[in-house]
Amino acid sequence: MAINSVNLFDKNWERYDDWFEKNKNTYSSELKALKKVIPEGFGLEVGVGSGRFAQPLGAKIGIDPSRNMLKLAKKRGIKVILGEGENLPFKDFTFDFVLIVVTLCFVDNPENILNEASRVLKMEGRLIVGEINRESQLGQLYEAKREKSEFYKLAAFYSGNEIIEMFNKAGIRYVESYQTLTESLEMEEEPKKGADRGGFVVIAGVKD
Amino acid sequence: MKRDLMEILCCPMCKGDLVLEVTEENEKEIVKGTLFCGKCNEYYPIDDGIPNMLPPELRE
Repeated sequence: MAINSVNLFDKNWERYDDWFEKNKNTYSSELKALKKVIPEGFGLEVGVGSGRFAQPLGAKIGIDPSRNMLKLAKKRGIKVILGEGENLPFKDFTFDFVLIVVTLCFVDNPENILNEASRVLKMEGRLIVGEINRESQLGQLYEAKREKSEFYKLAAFYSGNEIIEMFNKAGIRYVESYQTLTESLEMEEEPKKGADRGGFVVIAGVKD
Repeated sequence: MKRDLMEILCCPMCKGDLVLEVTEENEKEIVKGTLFCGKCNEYYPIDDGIPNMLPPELRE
């Protein structure tokens, strides 16, 4: 992760965690879309933050470069490790799934993160990425907010297809995708197939 | 960190095995100690129960 992003999250851990309380419907819609593709088994979240996704989605292990965030994730029952996705401290073929949620947009080189995620997956293991879709209303909104938002000024957003292309390069076979936040952020929304227009997209693939 | 984490951890740089040395442990977990990579000759500290596996140049 870019050093600036690490410092930003470490400093603003309370504000970050508070976002999930203030945006319950958005958070809940995102969780529903992710739940569609999460398999059984032993899971890792890369960029686990405060554990807001790992805990409800059943990822037992979490890694993040921010110590303050990890303290919260640990309280949520996640086994936490201080580290970065570019250099994972896990043995090859360890996990049934690796989850990466709104993290690729904050790293300098997403390909490195995906290559490492692929390495630690078991054969037939699942890679699951959740991201803000640049080619959506929400994506455009965030793009416009970048100037003013302390969090998002360091972010680079991708389209669903660009993420699928990154999977191919990392040797992960694309399987399916879901999207949510297609219209309003005010209401909780059921996930739909595809990754073309939702504000939040979930891309799943397997290592084989 | 819990002891069973040793089953999955390796050096973040060379991916080699690590040697655990515990300096403080309670009934739940290892609170303080080190993880040593012989190949890289590098120590990774465990503080407040959290192993610090950041690459050496990124450590605080």
